[in-house]
Amino acid sequence: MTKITREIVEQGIDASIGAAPAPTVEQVTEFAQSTIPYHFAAIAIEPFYVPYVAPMYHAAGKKLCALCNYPLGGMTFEDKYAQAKQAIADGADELDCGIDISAFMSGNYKKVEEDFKPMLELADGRIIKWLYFCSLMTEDQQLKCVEIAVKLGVPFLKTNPGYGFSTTLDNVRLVKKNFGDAIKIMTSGGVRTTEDAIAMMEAGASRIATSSAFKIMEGFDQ
Amino acid sequence: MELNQTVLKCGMTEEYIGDICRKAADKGLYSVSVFPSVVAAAVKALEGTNTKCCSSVSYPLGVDLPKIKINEARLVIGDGAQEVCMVMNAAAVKMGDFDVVKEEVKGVVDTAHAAGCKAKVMIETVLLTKEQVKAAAELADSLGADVILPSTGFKPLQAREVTSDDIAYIAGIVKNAEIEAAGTIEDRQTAEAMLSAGAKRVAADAALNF
Repeated sequence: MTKITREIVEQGIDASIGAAPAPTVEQVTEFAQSTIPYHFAAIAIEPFYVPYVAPMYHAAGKKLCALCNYPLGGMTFEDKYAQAKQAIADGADELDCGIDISAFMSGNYKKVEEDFKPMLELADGRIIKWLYFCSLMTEDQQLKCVEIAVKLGVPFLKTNPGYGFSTTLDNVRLVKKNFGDAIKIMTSGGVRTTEDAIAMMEAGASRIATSSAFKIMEGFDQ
Repeated sequence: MELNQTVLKCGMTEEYIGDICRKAADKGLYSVSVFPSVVAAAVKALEGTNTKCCSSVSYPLGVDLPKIKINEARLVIGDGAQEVCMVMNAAAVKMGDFDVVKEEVKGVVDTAHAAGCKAKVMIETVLLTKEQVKAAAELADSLGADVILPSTGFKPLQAREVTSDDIAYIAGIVKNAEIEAAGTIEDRQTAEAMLSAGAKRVAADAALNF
């Protein structure tokens, strides 16, 4: 097994601001600036902030991920599409996109597919992550859900949003065991320490979405 | 007691939505609040009843661009929602960017009213200073919001509990809009306190039990 080094963790982090909700543009900009010395994969921010932050962040050679249909996955398809399209126009390099989770939990798999296909096309080669709220699901449901993502050719999974959803090592292992390298995994929710991050990557996650990015990196310095 | 049953939990099935809507209608509740993606299911279950379908847009964070909120309002109305509830951009309020707030609130209000629907605005008061709440509530009221709520009721965002004092404060500010109490109202007693403080209606996850 590849040793999970500091470099691998750092380059696999999607950092989010955490802390107080509804941060101002100034606070998000400050957060973005504070990530510049690091080699994170991206920062993840809500669509409202993208146009304000993108110019500065791109000028620094960094990547932005926009959080779509987030955090509870209840938008209409049309508005989710409009939201993602606008985010890309505003400068998002990647998208985290909540699937139609109600449709999935209702067993309406065709709707889930039809809902995400256009999102994939919109991404047009950019990384788009299938946010599927795995904490709501049985193992069978998780397998079914990931199966749909793989079938569509989605490049990346996002296991959960933040806000109290916590991803377990078993959630990650389940996917890795059943789908191997067919789809990449970004684990999200509950990764707070360096040890957490390493364990998740050893379990098969390629990326970590976390609001504890700095703390995780500090852990390597000890 | 006028009640709004909120069903704004991630991943609710159409079956569950239908079930809650039927129960709400049987009990004569004023409305049920659902996510945009399940409005059609809620509207179908509420057909022929007096219970209204409300849909919550940009819930719970409210950090979307105005055009995205306005678009969603249009879409949920098209799916049959009789009321649209939008979460006001609290970040913009904090920043004093009332142009953004005006654009989003006016857009949703105008979209709703053009269709004969009611427009509700959620102001996340627990994230704001009293002065910011005043400015936000005054603006929403002046733009024609029919209902103002002091909270999204989304637990992770509730830095503190919304109290009847918050209700009374907003009641003292708005001139036209109704106030719908929201937050973490878990029993009938708390609901009654909110109504006494000036709320016309109470929104709660546990409304069916009150």
